Amino acid sequence: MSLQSDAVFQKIIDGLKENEAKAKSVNGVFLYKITKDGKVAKEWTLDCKNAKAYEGPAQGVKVDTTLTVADEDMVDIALGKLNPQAAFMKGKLKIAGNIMLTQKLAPLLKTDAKL
Amino acid sequence: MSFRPLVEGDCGGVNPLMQLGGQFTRDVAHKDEGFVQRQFERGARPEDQLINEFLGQVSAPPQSFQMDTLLQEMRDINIQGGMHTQQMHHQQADQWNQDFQRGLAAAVAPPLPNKMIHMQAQQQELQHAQEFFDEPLIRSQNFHQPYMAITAGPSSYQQQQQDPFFDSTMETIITDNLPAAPKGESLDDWITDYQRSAEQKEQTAANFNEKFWQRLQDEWQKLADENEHPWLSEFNDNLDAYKEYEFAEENPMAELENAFEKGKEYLAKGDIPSAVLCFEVAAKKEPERAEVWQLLGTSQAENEMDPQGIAALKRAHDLQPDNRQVLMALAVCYTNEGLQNNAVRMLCSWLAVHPKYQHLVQAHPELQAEGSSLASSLIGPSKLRDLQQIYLEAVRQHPAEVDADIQEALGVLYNLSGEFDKAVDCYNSALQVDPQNAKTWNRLGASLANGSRSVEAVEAYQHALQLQPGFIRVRYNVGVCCMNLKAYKEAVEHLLTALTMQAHTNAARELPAAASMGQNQMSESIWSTVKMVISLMGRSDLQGHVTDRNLAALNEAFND
Repeated sequence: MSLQSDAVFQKIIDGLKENEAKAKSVNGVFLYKITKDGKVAKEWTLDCKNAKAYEGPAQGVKVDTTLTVADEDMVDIALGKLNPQAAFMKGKLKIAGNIMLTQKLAPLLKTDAKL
Repeated sequence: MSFRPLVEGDCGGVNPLMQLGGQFTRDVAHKDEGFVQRQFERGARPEDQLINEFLGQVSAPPQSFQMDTLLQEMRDINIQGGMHTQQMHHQQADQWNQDFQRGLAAAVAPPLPNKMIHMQAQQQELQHAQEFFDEPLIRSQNFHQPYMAITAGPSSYQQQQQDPFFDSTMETIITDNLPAAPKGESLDDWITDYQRSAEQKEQTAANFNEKFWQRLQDEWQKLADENEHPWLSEFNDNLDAYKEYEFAEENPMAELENAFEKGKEYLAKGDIPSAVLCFEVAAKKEPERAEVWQLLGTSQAENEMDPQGIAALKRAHDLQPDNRQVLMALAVCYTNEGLQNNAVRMLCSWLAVHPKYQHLVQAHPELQAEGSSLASSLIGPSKLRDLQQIYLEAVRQHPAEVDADIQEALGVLYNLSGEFDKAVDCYNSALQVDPQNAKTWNRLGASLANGSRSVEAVEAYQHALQLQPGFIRVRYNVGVCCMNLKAYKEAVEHLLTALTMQAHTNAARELPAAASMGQNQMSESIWSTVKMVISLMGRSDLQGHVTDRNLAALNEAFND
């Protein structure tokens, strides 16, 4: 099944490949559970320690942080329409594990305008 | 719990009014804070009315029948039932306590069993009322009359008579309260006590919330401080990532004499990709010439190729550590790449080598960034704030005139700290000094966009493009802006324009062998954004072209 957030994760995969050093500076393994209509539809693993990302549960590495978010909200976060911290406060984004690491993740997700 | 003494009877048994109040308490405690006041008010009014009306009617019912014995019986029944509900209530309260401490989420569970208990207790009261009325007819008849007398009087009662359930509970309340007249005043106190305890409850809940978030915040802070040490090794890795500049494999300008001058001409014309090619040639020929690396670096940044830009600028920095333009350009590139500490370091150095503001840095020796790279990696978020303060001091030094460079630097610092509105103010000030500076317009636009003011950002970008139509970075930013506004078609068009300008440089056009060369002159960042937009558009049929970097096919797809 194809979700809107697939685009976001594709971009993350490219970003990690392009700039491995930046990925490694985040130094965490994140498991994303994307929900659609309330049920978990897809899982993505962001392995910043090895600078790669793939669909499905983590393989061979321990997950530091698990994030559960709806498909539409994931896209909004990536487009900068929804602030991840605000999403967390509203309960749209559920985080389990090392919360601090997700702060470092933010620049990887969002497409920033360049100065 | 504070309302325990309220629920337990002072003397004698627990009367239904207390029970009823206890149920209201329980309800309020379990529900969301937002509901507390409303529930309580709803509960208070009928009770208040009841009490007031009852007190007014105390002398009304004639004692012509054996009310006392009947009431005693009732109370006995109530005590048994009351104890039961009281116990359950306490259990529930303890349960709730645990749940609340375990986590806010858990608090959702209690309301369900709570409602059941509430219903049960009310059912019991109904039962009592029912039993009472099932007593021998004589007694009940006699009781009815005075009861009717009471109810006939106050009009508010009549309104409420519509509700049979309320009627029955009222009956039990009134009957029980007949001998309990002196307790009337204590009921008033009880209500104020209850109000107070409800407020306290709210307060503790609010405090708990605050403490929870405070603890979360502190944890974050601790982790932030801790994480700086592992960053030490990562810092060195990062340093290496940008070390080497990657030259184009086949450079059509390779045989050019005076490549540097030609490059500057292209820049003046606004053709950034061609200028880049020329500067590369010049840099290969004269690697010790700092200005070549400098222009190569700044051009690559404008060409939306920050990693290359950083590599080139570092060469320039090595050759000329005091060059403020190089320092500023590096700070901007590092900011774009998310390397906060490096950017802060650059801006610190910028101030330290500036003849007008050097003394400010000297006054704050802890910020000195010169020295080994190890020292710099320990700069934390507080250093960013300190540096912002120092720059503000610099501004205050000359309040009458605006130093555009200081404003630009402050703008970068505010972008780093996420205070985009302040950054916007800085760039607006800088533009007052030089309104024809396309780079400043771009930075204004980017600050607006990152601060989620996308529509205003587009305006700023338009200014920049009017001044310099070949400004690749601005076109990329416009594309990103359109994407954030979900205008995917426009986004793709802008991005493809940027890529086309990079692939088909004027320089390349002059030479026949240039067709295949365009590939490595195109920005990775632009391509990955194109990929994302196409995905968001749902045009998976075009993804193949994106992966193959087939610009021609994509242009065709979007040109009709």
